[in-house]
Amino acid sequence: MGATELRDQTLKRQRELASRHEVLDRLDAEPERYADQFARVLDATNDLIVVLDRVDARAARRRLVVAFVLLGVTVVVAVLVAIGALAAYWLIGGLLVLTAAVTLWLGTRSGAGAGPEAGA
Amino acid sequence: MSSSTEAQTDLARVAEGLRTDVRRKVAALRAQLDDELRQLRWTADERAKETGARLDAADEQLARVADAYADLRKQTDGELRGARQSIARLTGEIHLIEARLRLEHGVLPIDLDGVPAELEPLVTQVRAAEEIRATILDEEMRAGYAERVDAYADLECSVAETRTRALRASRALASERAGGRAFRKAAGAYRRERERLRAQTEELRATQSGCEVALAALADDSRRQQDYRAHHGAAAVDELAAHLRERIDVAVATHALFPAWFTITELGHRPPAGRAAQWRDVATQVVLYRITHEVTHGVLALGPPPEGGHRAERYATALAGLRRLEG
Repeated sequence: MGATELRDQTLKRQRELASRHEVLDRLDAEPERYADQFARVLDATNDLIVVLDRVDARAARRRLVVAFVLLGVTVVVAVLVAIGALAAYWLIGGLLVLTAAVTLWLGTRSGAGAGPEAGA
Repeated sequence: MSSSTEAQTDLARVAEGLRTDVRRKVAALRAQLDDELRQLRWTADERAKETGARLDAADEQLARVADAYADLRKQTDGELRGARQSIARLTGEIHLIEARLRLEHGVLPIDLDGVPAELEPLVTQVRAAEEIRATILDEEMRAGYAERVDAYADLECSVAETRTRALRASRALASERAGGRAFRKAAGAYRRERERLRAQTEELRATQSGCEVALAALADDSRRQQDYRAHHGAAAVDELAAHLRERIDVAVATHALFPAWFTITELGHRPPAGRAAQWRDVATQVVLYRITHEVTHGVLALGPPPEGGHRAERYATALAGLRRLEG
């Protein structure tokens, strides 16, 4: 599922949720129907959260891919410095790229730890 | 001129002689005074030592007297206790002999278990009140049920608060810009509240039946308490106790023979002189217990011990009254 499609789904679910909230707000004077509508609001919110979980999962996957790419760049830079194709100070850049990769990977881990558990 | 010089020399010599003499006498006096002081100090020391020794001897003597007094007191107490027990045993034996003699002469023990026809309605009322009272919850059980109901109400409040917070987060999700900071924050908050709501709802469902049972038990208890109050059971018990007390008074006054289940308890054959009022109260309590719970055992005054509930409390109270008579 593409990013645009996910975005559309998010907006659609959000509109649906907003409309159910409007109905719920109008039902303040009718307590007998309030519980039913409250359940509907929670259902709509859960649907929206499911879509948001997908968005989060997709973002986590992308961050992981970027982290691996950066790791690859670091390895290439290190190899080139080792064979003398690049000057030694390129290692500083390689180190920065490695730091960025590790940061991204850690961010993916923490996101993966929170997302599926909350969405379960 | 020369004679005046000689006279002066003589005078000086005499004066020197006098001075030397005075110095010698002063030295002699001082030495004497020192001797006397030394003597006095020695005498005082001796006297102090002597007095200390006398005091130590007096202390030892006093300790011996105190020990002897304690031994004597212990011995006297033991002998008094033994004498008291002997008197009590002898009194019991005399009462027993008296009872046997009277039995041989055809005197029958009084019937304390029997209910006269005029007291029958009162006894029925007391028994009915006691039956209601037996079903009333004790304080501990009532507190336990109330605690369960309170815990359920607290949980319901928590669920309502969590629902409110979840609804607030849901409203933010519906109104904030999708993907924005507030939107993401609301999503996180909703996920947390949803988990909490799920756990609380589970707990609510698990404790619901227990709460319903507790509510029903408390309602029943309240109804029974009302029934008991409406029944005027306490007044009936007092009235019946007054009748029984009067019957015991008459029995004691006429030297009636008490039944075996009565005399083998701490109540004995007669009230003790020093604690007649207490004896009378305990005797009334025991007879009231027997009549209320229809105990007709010939040996056990209170019958076999009940398993629990209100009757067990009354049994324990009567038993404690008998124990107090013994002490």
